[in-house]
Amino acid sequence: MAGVKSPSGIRVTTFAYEDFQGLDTSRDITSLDTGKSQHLSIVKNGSCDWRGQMVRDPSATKVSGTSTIEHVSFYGANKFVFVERTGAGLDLKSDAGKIVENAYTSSDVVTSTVFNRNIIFSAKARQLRRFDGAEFYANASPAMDLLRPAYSTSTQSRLVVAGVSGNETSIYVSRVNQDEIWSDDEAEDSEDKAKAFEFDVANFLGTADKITGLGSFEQNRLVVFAADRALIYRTDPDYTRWLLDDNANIFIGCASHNTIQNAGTDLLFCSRSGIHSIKRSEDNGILVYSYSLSDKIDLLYRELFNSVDNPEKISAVFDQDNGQYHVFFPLPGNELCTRLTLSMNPESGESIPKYSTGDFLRARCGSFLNGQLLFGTTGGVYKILQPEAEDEGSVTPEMEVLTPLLWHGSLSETKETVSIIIQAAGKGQIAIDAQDDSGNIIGSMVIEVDDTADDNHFAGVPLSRQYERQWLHRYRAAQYRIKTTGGSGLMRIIGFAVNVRK
Amino acid sequence: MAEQSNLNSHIGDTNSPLETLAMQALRRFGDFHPGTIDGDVLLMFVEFANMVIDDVRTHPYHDGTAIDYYTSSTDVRKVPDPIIIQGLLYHYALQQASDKVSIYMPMYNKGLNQHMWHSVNGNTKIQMKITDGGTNKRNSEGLTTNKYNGTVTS
Repeated sequence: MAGVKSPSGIRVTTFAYEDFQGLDTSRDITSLDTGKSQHLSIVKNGSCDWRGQMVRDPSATKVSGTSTIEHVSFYGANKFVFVERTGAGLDLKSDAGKIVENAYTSSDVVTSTVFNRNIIFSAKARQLRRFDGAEFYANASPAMDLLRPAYSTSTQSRLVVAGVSGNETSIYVSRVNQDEIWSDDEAEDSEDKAKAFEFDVANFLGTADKITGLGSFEQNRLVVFAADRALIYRTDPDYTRWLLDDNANIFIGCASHNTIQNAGTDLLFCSRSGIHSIKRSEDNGILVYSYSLSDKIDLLYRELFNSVDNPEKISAVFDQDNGQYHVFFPLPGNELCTRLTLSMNPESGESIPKYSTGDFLRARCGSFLNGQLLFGTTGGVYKILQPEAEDEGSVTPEMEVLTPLLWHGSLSETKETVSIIIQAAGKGQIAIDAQDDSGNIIGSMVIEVDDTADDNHFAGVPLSRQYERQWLHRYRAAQYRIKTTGGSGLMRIIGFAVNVRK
Repeated sequence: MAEQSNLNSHIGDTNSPLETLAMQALRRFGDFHPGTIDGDVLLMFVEFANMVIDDVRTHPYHDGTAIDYYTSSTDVRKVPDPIIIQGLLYHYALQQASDKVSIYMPMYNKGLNQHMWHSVNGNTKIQMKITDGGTNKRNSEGLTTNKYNGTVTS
């Protein structure tokens, strides 16, 4: 609602900040004032979308559980199972109320995969379990009872497991469509091409490395991750046709099996140093390679990574509807958790995603199926709504954004500001405060944002969503903090500008 | 009924509260939506208005009626509303170092003089008259000559 009646006669230069690019921690906050394609120092509980708007994270409604959720997985549309922490250990629970108490000890890292329309749960040195939609069962295979693997995935009608104590480089593959028949369960002289089998990758790795995760990729590729590299196998229901893919050269390892997620044609995973993607070359269609997605936030990533006592506890989920990869870094104590989110660009041409963080509900794991995103939090399982959805029983996060030091031109002169313009849409309140380069708070204000019809249809207000406020301050450089409170549904900050006297 | 210089007769029968006048001044100045101004700016307008009261108190046309300073932005003082608004505009433009100060300053002085003159004399014809008696026989008829404009009244 800028003044439109007369010019004020004050000569100002407008410094506009727009097309927000999310976090960039690879540069110091003093050298990030770019104006166009502006990066930010903190983006919490919100993200920068592909248009460059800051968007508040969606609201959530509670669906099940009461205490800390360590793992959650869909077994059908709107139907899920989860691992809940109790004082004694980890319970396996279904949304329908089935429980296996103390199925795992409290330090176990549980992972799951879907095979034969069952959820297969695994944890290192624990029995393989499955849930068929009604009951939990222990795997009946005598061979599997000895293996007790840590990781599992499925490819080409076979369940694949690895991470067996004492055989850390071995991969065990089930019989086709059978999760309870493993290599030692087969007759020794069996010539069945569908039979279960096992193989050892120790001599392919060539180092003292061990398997740290399994993933499947495209229609018939198995990715075997070690700590420092990954091997890709071409798979087939016929075990004699399994081949090491020699067009793949991936010298990046995986730090946590639970971060391996398929995202379109790519496979996303977390290493010690960042978030990576495995994809097939668009140039020749043959070469498979990995590339880093997190160079812009290398320092932040390592800080988050080092805050976790056991890297295997890091987990991730890919929300394909919104193109977001959420990575959860649970802090020691089983209470706090930081979420790192990559927002992909749905438009082609730009491959570098935008980053944001969050601590909403202290979410620590997630699952996605059929347009539904679930977060396991310290207080049960929550369903994450679409960003624009409003639901009476939902809770809405408070977005916090902190800009880097904004210089408005000169690095040495003191600038005099006249006004600040915030362009925002949605419903809720925006609180803005700023501090100068010495850390002094220079001012704060609250702006009510309400783009309901009555606000949008005032005659004579040409930019109904443009909010200009007097902002008379002197500083050399300042960091602006924008927080949203209240309201629900879509809340977007499109850009802001500071008018500085000439 | 006495002549009114109340710009906001819908708010009160006499003059307008200072905050209303400040909003009008801000609207005319052209900065922002006036309703978004914070409390500090409104306090500054109290100071500006008190400087205007100083100008009125010491104006040669002022009849000497006591006018107290504004002590809050909701106060009402018996000063014509246009004087306060023009004074606020002048002081605000000066404080903001706006180019408009070169126009608001003469406008304020003109408005101040105009309204003070009007309140002391109204809109009457100005004539040159001898006021020291002279030989005209009306002097012996008990008529008086207005010392400001020379009008003769009985």
